[in-house]
Amino acid sequence: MRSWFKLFISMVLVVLGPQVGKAQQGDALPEEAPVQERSALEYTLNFSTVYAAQWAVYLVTQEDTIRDHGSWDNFFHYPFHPGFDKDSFDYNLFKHAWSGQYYYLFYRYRGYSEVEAFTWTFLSSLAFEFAVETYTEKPSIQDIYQTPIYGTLVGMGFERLSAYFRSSESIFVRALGVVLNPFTLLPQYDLAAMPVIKDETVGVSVLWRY
Amino acid sequence: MKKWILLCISSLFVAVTAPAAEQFEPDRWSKGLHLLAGGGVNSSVYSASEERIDGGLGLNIKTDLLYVLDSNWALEWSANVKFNQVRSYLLWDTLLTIGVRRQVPSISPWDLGAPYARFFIGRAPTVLFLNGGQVDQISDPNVSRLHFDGPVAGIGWGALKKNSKGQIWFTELSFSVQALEQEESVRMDGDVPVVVSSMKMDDNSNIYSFTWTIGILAF
Repeated sequence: MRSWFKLFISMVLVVLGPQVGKAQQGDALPEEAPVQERSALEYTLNFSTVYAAQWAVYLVTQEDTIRDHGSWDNFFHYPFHPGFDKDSFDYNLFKHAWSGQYYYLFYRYRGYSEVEAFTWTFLSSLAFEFAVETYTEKPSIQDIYQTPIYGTLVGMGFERLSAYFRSSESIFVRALGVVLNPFTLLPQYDLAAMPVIKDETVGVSVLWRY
Repeated sequence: MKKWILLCISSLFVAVTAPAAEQFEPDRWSKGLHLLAGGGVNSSVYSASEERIDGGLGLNIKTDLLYVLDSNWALEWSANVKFNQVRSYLLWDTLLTIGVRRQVPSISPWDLGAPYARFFIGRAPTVLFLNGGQVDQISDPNVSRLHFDGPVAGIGWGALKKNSKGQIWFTELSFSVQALEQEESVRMDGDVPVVVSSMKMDDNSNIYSFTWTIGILAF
C-alpha cells in the first residue's frame, strides 16, 4: 500500500518540484511584492505543491500511525464523519499552528495578499483534513478551524519578524530571519526536488542552483 | 516552553506591527473577511446537581473570523480557548461557535470606541488533564484525561478603536454557558489517543464563564 503513496508523491514532486522557485526568480520579497493577478493554472500549481508537501511530511512523520491505523477504507469513509478529536493542546494548538504558518508563508512567498494567503491556507488545511489525514483518522473540527487561523496569525508574526531580522547588519540575525521564513531564500535561487525512495525510507533530494 | 515563547513573540509582533486597516473603520466595517485575535482572562465556575467548583481566573486566547455583510452587521466563526486550574487539574476549554455581531452605538457608557454586541452558539470540547492523578469514578490508572462535549451559547459586548498608527484594537466582555453532556476517558497509545470509556452525563453539569479579551484586527 505504501508503494502507492510513494509513487504518488514521486510523481507530484517530479512534476511540481522544479516549478517551485523558478516562477518568481528575481521577484521582490513577499512583503514588498504587489498583489498580482493569477491564472487558474498558477492557483492549481501552488495548491498542488502544498498538497504534495503535506503527503510527504505525513508519510515521513506518521509512519508508525499509518502502519498501525491506516487504510484506504478509512480514506474514503472518514471524510463523511468529521468530529471533535481527542488530541492534547500540544497537537491542536502548537503543531497545527506550526504547520499552518508554513502554508501561509508559502502562499505569501507566491505573492498572495494576506487575505488571499489566509483563504488558501484554509483550503490547504481542508485538503489535509479531508484528503490526507483521513487515511488514519476522521477530520477534526478543531483542526479545521485552528490550523488556518492560528497558522495565519503565527505566519503573519514570523513574516514580519523575519523581514525585521533580515534587515539587520549582523549575519547571524539575518540567518535567524531566514530560519523564521525559509521561503525568503527561494526567489533568489533555482530549486528542484527529486524523491529518493528505498525499501525502508523515503526522502527528497534538493538541487539548489545559485 | 520554547513553543510558548515563539508563539508569544510572534503574537506580540503581530500586535505591534498589525497593518493599518485601510478601509475597516471601528464604526463603519468594510465588507468581506476579517480576522480578530486577542488574549485575556476568564473566570469560570463548574456547577452540577450536587457540586459547585470555582475554576478561578484563567487565561484565554480568542479569535474571530468575521464575514462583514454591511457596515453594521457581520457573521462570525470564533474560537475561545480557555485554560483554568480546577483543584490540581488543568482544564482546557475550546468554545467553537458561530454567531452574529452588530454595531450598537446606543450602548456606549465610556469612550472605549465604537461598541458592538454579539451572540454566539456552538459546541465546546472540554478536556480535564489528570496530570497523573486519579478521580473517583475512573478506575483505569492509564487514563490521562477526560474529554467532555456539549453545546455552548453566549453573549458579548465590546468596542473597536483605531489608534494613531491606524491599527484597530478591540476590547470585549463576554458571558457563556456550556453544558457537559458527554464524558469520555482517554488514554494515550503512543501518539494516538484511545477512548477507554464513554458515558452520557445527566447530572446537569454546566460551566459558566466570564471572559475579558483585548486584541487586534489582523486583517
